[in-house]
Amino acid sequence: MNLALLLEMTAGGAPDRVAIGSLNGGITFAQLLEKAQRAAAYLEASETERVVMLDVNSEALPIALFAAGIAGIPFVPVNYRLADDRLRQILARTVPAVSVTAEDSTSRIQGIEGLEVMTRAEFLDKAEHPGVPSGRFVAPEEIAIVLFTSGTSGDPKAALLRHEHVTAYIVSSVEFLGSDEDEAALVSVPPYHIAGISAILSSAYSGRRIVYLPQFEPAIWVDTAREESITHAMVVPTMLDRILKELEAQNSTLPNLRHLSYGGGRMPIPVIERAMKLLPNIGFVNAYGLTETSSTVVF
Amino acid sequence: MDLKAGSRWTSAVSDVEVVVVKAPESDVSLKSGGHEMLPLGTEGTGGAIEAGLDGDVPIGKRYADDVSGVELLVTKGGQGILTLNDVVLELKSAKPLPSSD
Repeated sequence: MNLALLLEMTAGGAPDRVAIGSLNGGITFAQLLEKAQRAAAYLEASETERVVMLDVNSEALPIALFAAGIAGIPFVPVNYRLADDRLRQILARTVPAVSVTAEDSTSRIQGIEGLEVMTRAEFLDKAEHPGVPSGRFVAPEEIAIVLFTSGTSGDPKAALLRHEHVTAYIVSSVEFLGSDEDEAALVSVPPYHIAGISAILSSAYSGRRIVYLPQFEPAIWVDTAREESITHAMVVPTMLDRILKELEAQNSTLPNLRHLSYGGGRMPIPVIERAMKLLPNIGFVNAYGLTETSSTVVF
Repeated sequence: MDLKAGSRWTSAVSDVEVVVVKAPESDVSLKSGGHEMLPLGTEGTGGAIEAGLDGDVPIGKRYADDVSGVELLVTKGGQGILTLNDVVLELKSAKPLPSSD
């Protein structure tokens, strides 16, 4: 099945729940689907073959992911922290492509043949413009997402995730609309990491709201978690250490947070012990998995 | 019926819609409420659900059959029990994992 069907189901079953952003003023599941369909119609008309995302977290991320799914072309989030030459080498491997790009990054990727550079604002504008995608059949074995490895030992390798991989992972492990209406996940992992992608898919299918932080910053993370009544979050160990320092400095806690998962590196025992003392009512989950396995395989 | 993986089907007699998660290994007849399901986008026949097959088919539930290997996901809920070769399909239980994302 197409990964966009995960969103389509939730838009049908709980159209007015907020999918992305604040409870007041956020985008509902029905609106998210409509924006993705409109963006998909634009992608189909442009006859591009891939959608690149070179930007921090924002609502453009899930819109672009689902739009690419509907249009049946791969979604390719890339690491904006790469040096210009490495970045350009990777992008040259994605053409012909449209790049949804942070305003301040457009100048870094000009002049790559076959790459159409578009700002986030321009892309979001396409998602507002009425249009209906063709609804063509996308086979389960078609590639849905391309994630580049860090390339520690040579050129970055592309991990290919097919529609059948990501949807199998979601429908076999997540209960449809299984989230309570008050649940909200704070996502601060970057879009080019598999955890950022699976957060979108599992939240969409379970009907859980996502609140994005463009980039991780401990004080903003703690303030946002409190203001947005965040119940779920995923962090890497260094983030948790900095969040705890912030809470200790503020002499405060996070009353709404119920569930914190961590991964992406070894968790130092002193950090998790401090976390369990400071946040006694939270369930902690250590997640481990490979990009190639559509995220978590071991808990 | 060509129940290829990823194909979508609608009930001829109700709102039920399904997507094929795993294709069957043999030719099968998939029905909802006693009537063969139609490719999504086809008009329903307006017929009546057969007696005894008027149960609820909830959105988000998976149905599977070990003999043919077919697996379906309900993408739109409604009335009209799902049958495969006239045998009622079994609900496949989810295996919720401790959510990490």
